Amino acid sequence: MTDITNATVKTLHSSLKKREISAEELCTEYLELIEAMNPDLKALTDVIGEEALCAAKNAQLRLDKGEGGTLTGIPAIVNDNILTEGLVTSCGSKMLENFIPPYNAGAVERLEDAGYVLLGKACVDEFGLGGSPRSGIAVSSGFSPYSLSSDTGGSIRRASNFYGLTGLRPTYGRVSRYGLAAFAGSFDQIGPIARTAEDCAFVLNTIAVRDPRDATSFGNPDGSDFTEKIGTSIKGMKIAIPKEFFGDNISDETKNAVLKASKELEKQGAILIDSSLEIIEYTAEVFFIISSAEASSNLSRFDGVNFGLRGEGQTYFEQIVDSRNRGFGDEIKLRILFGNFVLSAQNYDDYFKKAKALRRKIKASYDEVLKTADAILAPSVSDSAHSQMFFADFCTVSSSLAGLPCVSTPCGYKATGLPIGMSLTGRRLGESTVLQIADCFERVFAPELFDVR
Amino acid sequence: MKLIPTIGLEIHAELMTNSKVFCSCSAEYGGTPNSRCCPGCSAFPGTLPVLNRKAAELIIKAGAVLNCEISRTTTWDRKNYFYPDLPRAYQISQLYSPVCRNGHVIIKTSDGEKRIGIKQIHLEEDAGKLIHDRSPKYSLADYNRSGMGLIEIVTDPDLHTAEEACAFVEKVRSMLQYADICNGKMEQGSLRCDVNISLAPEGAPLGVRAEIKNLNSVRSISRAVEYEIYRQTRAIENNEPLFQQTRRFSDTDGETYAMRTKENAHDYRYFPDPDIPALVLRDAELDAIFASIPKMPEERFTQYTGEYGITASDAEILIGNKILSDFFENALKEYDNPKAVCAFILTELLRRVNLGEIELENPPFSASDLGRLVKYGYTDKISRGDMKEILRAMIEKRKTPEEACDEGGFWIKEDLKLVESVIDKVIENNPNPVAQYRNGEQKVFGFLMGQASKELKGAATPAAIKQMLESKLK
Repeated sequence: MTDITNATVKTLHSSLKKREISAEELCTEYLELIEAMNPDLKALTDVIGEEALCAAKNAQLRLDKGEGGTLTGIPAIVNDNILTEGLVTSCGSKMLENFIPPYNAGAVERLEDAGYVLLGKACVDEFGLGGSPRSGIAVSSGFSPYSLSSDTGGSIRRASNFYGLTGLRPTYGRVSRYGLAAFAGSFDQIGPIARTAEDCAFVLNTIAVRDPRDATSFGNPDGSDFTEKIGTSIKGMKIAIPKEFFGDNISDETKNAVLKASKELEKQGAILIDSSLEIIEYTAEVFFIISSAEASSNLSRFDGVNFGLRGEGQTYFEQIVDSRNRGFGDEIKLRILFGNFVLSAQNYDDYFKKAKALRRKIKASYDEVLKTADAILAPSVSDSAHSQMFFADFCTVSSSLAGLPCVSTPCGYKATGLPIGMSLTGRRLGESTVLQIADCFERVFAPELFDVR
Repeated sequence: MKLIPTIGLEIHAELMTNSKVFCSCSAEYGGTPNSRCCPGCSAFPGTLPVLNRKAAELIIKAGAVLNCEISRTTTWDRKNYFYPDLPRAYQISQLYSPVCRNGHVIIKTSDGEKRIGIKQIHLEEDAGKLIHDRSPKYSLADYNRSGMGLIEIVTDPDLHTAEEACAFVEKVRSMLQYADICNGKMEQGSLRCDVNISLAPEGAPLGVRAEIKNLNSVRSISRAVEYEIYRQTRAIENNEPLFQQTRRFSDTDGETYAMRTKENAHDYRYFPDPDIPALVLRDAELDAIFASIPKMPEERFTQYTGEYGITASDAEILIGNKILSDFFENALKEYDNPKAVCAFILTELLRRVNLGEIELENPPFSASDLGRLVKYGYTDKISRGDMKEILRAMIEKRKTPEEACDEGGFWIKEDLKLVESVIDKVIENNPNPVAQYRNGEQKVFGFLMGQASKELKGAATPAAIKQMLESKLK
């Protein structure tokens, strides 16, 4: 029997193919594990056993006929801010406590077509704000080999970092945002959290499809196979190491782990380049301004009229005030207030307009470095207390601002035993390259060799 | 002190697209409440707006017929405000880069022609409709109109009288109708108008402006402007303060009432919509759109009065209504005799329309049916005197002209034997007139011809009867 707690998509697919296990048996094993552990971990909102077994049965029928692909019959978890038809999708908000979407998100449709087996929805912070910790907990606890998650300012990479997993934020526009409850539309992207870079590539192969219902999506215009470069040599690849990501904001433990990893990559043939990304010191502020502005507008639809919680009041105004007061949590209220502040006629030029201009500069400075480098290496998250400005992490938000693909993969452990992650940001549409480098490192990464204690 | 009114207009025109501007719901007017909406125009989480290319095409057409510059790159902005008829709580509009700028329209007034500048035209979506009169306790929302495509045409402050304002609206309305951009039905709200008006002494800077919202007939525009001129003049003359205000016009008493003042004005927190990519237009696309613009009223007038030889007043009647003008042109495709077709339309067809027997928008027969009917009358296939009766059969029995002629026996048959025997009889029965004619009194020919025609109704063309009679009388 397969040890599911550490299984990858690749190994499970091979077991299914060799008929060592059936999709239903696999599903049952996962469900048993989830039922045993979820009450304590509370990683999933709900377990959908019956539907999952039915999906597994159908997947097995396809496998029996020699049909289906890598994801057929493989269990998965989807974040609760990604819409699933007929299944409560609360987005972690009281506003949508009982919201049952009448349609699937575009990415969910793609997985469904591929014959995936949905086991449950991972709890999210309200509207995906902050991180996808539960999604990370679920995968690292063995609830499923991967999860479909979302990343606005770093959720996928933070979860991957903290739970020793590999997660990919794709290029903005790679994956349809249709059916992802919007927080900040110019940042939001859907991507996988998995155990390996290769598994991320399998999932991306399935979900990177242009969707006419999302005008910003372009899918996979080159028809890339993201697994193609997995396992191939990184000899001659140029990896930039911007000094700004190795300053006071980062603990020595983390710095050492990431730099040690860079030496390993050098040993594998990569060429390390010392570089600089000058204006990234402003990224947290820029992200906070633009994302709050967009969120304040996106979340305005929750006024208690059409759906969601309806408050009380004699007039429309009283009613929306009460609805929104009761329906939103404090963190969301803060973002809405700040977003409205930066968009007001009086403050627009001083905040929003400046932030947009800086965003263009940040993007340009990334593009400049990536003209010569194939990827940029940095710690996945900043880990000293004073670096967490405005609830935004400058390590993760900078690639979100630039709209570039970014993969986070484990590269060591702290004295406390917590994992350390490193991130690789690539060129626009450069997922294959960053996954290739992450994969190369995963193959040589043996935790004991990287113990920096 | 002579006070000069200065007026600027904002015309909202609903686009004649099949679907809404950012989703694929039907854009037809009316319908059972909330039957024409989807998760998109109801603002369900996770839905995203996708621009309807047809709507983009129509605003470009509008820019072209209203002589505007067309932007090659256009972006979209969100106008944020809470109202129960606006499901997303923001309206997608264009503040920073509208599709069209710097246009103009020439209007005719009693003072002659005037050029009215158009500041910009932008594309936006309409809101839903609230129904307040069902209960004192609650209001109902109908989102069928939510997300319908609108263009907003903003003029420069170039208008100075109610007459000019009305002439401008009429002119723009007709151009939008002719270019198939908007159906112009003001009573259905497909075309609505906001009026900005202020008064100031000649040569002085502009006065304090009032904006009168949502006028939905040319008559209301005229009355609202007249009332505002009266109200503001009185205030200035009595040294009473005027406030920058949004006002509404009451059709019942012809007065305007304050809705909100500038201090209470909304801060719409406009910002670029991250969900909709910029619309980038290439020259080839623009050229194709320009080429698809139908003939505009001026061009038709020149053609009708020139090439077709129709009088100016008749041409104006035809062009005054696009459906009528199109009907006329389509009838010409069947029978290329503009004067004859025009005469029949202006007399017989319009008489039926005025009697309420025919709706022009939904006529019981096609333009080509009418064209063929006129052709038969003017080419002696039927008697012209019978055309009226045949038209009646086409209306009442929904017949084609051919069916109506078959059933009523209206076809002229050219039975020469019958003609000869009838004429022989006419000559025999009228010895005196025949003798007079033979003695050179030409005018009695008409009498003899009439006698023969009466007998021969439908059996032969007048030309055939005339020829036979002449030869027999020799």
